[in-house]
Amino acid sequence: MESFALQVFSPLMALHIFMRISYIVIILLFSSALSITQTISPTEYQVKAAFLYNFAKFVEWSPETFSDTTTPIVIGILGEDPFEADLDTIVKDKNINGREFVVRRFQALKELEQCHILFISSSEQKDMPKILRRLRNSGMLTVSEVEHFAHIGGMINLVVEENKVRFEINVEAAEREGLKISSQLLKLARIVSEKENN
Amino acid sequence: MRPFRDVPIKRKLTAIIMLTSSVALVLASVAILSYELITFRRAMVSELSSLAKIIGANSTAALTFHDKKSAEETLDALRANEHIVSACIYTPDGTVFATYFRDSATTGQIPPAPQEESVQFNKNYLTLSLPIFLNGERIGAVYIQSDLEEMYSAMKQYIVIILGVLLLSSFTALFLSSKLQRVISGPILHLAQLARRISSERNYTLRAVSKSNDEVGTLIDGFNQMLEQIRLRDAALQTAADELEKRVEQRTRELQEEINERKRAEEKIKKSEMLLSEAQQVSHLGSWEWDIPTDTVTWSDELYRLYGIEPHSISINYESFLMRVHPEDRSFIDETVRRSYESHEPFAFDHRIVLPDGGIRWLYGRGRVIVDGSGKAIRMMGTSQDITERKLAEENVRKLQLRYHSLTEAASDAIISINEHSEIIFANRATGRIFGYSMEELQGQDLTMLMPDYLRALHKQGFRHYLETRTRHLDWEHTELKGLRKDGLEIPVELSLAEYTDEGHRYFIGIVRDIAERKRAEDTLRESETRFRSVWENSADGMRLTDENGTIVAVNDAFSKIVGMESAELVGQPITITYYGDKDVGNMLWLYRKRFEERTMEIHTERIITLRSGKTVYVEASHSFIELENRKAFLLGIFRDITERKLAEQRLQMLAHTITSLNDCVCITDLNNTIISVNQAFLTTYGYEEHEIRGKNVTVLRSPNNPESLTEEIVRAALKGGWSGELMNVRKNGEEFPIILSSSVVRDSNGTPVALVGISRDITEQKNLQRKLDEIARQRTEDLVKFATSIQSAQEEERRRIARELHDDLGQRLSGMKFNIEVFEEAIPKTDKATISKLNQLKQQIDTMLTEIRRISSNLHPAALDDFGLLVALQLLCKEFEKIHRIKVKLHSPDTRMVRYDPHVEIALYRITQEALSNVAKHAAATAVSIQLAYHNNTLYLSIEDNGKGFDVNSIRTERATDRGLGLISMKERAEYIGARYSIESQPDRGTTIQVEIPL
Repeated sequence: MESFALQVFSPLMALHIFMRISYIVIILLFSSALSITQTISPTEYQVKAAFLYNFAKFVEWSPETFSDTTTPIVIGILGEDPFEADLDTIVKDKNINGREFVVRRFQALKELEQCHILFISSSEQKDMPKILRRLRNSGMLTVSEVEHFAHIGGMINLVVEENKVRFEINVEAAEREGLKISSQLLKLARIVSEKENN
Repeated sequence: MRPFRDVPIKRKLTAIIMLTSSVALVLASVAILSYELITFRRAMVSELSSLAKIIGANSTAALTFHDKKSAEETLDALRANEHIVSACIYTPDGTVFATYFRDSATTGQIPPAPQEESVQFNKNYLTLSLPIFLNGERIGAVYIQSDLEEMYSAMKQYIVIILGVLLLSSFTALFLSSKLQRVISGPILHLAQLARRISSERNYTLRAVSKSNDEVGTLIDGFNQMLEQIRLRDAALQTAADELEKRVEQRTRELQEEINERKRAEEKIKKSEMLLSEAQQVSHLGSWEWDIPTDTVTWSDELYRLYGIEPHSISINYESFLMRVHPEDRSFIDETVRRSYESHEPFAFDHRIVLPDGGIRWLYGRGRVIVDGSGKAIRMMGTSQDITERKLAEENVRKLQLRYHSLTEAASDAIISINEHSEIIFANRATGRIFGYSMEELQGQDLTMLMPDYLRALHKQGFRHYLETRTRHLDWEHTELKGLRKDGLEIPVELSLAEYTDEGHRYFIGIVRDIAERKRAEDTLRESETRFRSVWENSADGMRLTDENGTIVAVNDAFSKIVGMESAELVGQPITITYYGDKDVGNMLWLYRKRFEERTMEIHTERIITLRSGKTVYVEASHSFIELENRKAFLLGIFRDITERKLAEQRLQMLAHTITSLNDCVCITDLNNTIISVNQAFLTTYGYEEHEIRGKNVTVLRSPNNPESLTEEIVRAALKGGWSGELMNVRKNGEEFPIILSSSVVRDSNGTPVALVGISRDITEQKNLQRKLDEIARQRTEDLVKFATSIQSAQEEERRRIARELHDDLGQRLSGMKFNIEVFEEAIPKTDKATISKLNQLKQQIDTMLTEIRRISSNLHPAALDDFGLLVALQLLCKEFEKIHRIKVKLHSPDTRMVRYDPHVEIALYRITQEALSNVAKHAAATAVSIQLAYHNNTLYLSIEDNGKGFDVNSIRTERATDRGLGLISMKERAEYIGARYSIESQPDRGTTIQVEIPL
């Protein structure tokens, strides 16, 4: 009798188990799909961090800014850091022509040390003319995301247009500091000058 | 088209030069074209590759910053090159980043990003892929596809140019070669023309002109020298021919003479050959010659003739010769010839040949072998002579000897031959048998040893006398005398003699016949003749002796009786005399004579003959030929009148047919009940085959359910006169069925019973029908009884009701009336006697009425039966009966208890008693009735017995309509209604007893 009951119920049991497994599989599939979409569309600051790293590829600094051929390229952040760990993640283990990257953060202008690329956070917007004045002849590539940054003497300003990050370059400002920006990069940028502003 | 071989040398040269230069040109052109193609392709790849590199370098920033638009602008620069069909830039992970298409309509397929640098040519396109590097990092790839229009158009141009050059150079070559070939072909053509001229003109003095010192010049010089030699030889030949002609003339003359000589010789030979041929013809001798190496056989004309063939019409070889030899002689001839071939010995043999018409001819052939120098047989020649006649003569002699020998040996007579000295020189086997001597004993002995003493001297004397005078002392044809056997017995012999001479000696042959047998036979014959005569005269069968013409020679008395004619009327007349009418007489006699001659008379026949008297008789005739020694024969006919037997047979046959075709089964058995014969209907009904049932005992047909003695009983009854009845029979398959059988005895003419015949019929159907009818009748009767009883029951009820009404209602009213009268009587003064008297009368009348009502009521339905039961009711009935009819009734019942039975039983028994008593009163004239009612063994018995005059029960049964009949039936029905057994016994003057038994 017992075995008979088992025989009767075992198909039902199998169905039950199958449905359970299907449910789990569906959940797993769905969640992994979610994770894929997350990786596919990076956040604005992840893109901007990648831009900071990529600018290094298209900019040539004057040789005196590096003590030797393996001196790392220093990316500095002035003010509040909007990148959090993303920038560190991007530049980690990367090198350009044998130069590694170092990220350094400066809370105030007075703490600022020599960098190759300096990202000036929007938290420093009101002090911007002062900061730019202070950076004259420092040989740093200045990057920010503040309106009119390039017009007032900044070199590269990251702007968001149509949901995409684009940039403006003030070629004169860069040339003033002895930086050579690749024509390739210039082709992608909107070229601005201080004269336009007035 | 002429083969190239025959083309003039001029054209040959031109063609060779053209072909050579063309092939060289084409090969060069192909080489140039191939080189150009390879170079062009290499240039294309290199160009496209640098283009791709430029695109890649210009797209690094766009790739790095994902600026698709910028990348597409870079790609769009490719529009400057119209052969680029499509281009594409890939991101490092292989997805398409930017595309370019020459025709915006054709957004052709973009291949998946290649991992390596690759170049690919196919039929229409060149595709190229290159990775893009930035700072040593692979940041993407570029893909460019170019069409091959440029290459193809360049190739086309090349081909046109090459073709033009080819054409031009070909024409130049043709022109040059046709001019230059004359250097070589000119002298050769000149030479050829000269050769043609020489051969057509036969002028060997012509010479060719040589202009050069090369090979052609040498050739022409050689040719001229050859011509010179030919001219010289020609002249020499002419001289020799003239000489030869003269010699031929001379020789011809000589030959002519020789031929004439030979002709004459041939003439001679022909003549001698003719002579030989004629000789051969006369002597039937043919000659032959066999040339062994060629296997050719030459025959002379006569030999052809001997073989029956037209001379020389066919050619002969050894094999075809052998085939003409008689098959039996072939092997020995072949053997002889072969032996002779080996040994070179001559040979000779007799042999037969088969002529074309199948006839046989005997030939004597001889031959010899001719050997060549090396000792090898090269030919055979010989002759063949026709010896058929000799052979036939020999054969005849042999046959005669054989015949003579077999004759003498087979002869039953002794044949003895003696010489002049009376010495036995020959005696045949029969001699030994007759005289008891062996051959050896007789040979050379004197003949007298075979004679008794008294004849010997006579013989010697007579023999000597005959030798000297030729006077015979006894009849040579036939003499009967005595001979002496070896055992000394004298035997009668018959002797005939003959003489013959051979080589001057005289011999005598005697044929001696032992006639002792004949003597005995003569005696026997005499005896048998006597016996025959007695048979002839006393035989009951008619006998008739006729000769070969059909003439009656003798008849016996019995024959006369059969045909109704006297012997004197018949003898000497033709056999047809006995028959009625004369039609077919001639025919009949002709047939007789023919059969007589052939001895084919039917030995045993049966015939219907219409006699001369017109009477028709059946005759059984048997014939036998009596052959007499003198070659005369008679026909003995033995006739028997079988008319009666025939008619009986016919009757029997008809009877047999009748029996066979009867629908009833007929079975004939012997007296032991063994089945002899049955008819078809029997076989069909019983399911047997005839052979199965014949010889079986008839009891196999009887069902075991029949009484055991039935079969015996049937036989007994049948022997006494016949038996018929129904019984059960059984079929072969075991099925039982009823039959109606009538069996009777068959007697022979003496009245002795010989067989039993049973005629039966399957009555299963009738039986079934009868059973159904019985069933219907029984059903009807049952229904009637039921109907009757229901009527009785209703009647009884009605009676009970009327009785009660009478008794209760009318009786009560009368009683009331009587009471009222009594009341009224009280009121009347005693003095009024008249009124009182009237009232009393009235009272008495009422009493009488009451009594009467009670009686009627009781009669209709005795109230006592309902109230007190059967016994009391019967007692009352009996008392009443006694009172009315003054007949003593004694009711006896051992059981006085007031037992009550079923009301139906009680009323039925009451009514039966009532009816019986009524009958007694009406018819019996009885003085006493005894009624008994008893009960034991669960059965109630009622009997009513009177001592009246009784009656015939059987007669009553038939007269149903009478009153008594109705009463009796009524009683019977009542009894049956309650399931009782009812019986009535009565005989005149013995009273009547009715008995009823009711099982309860």
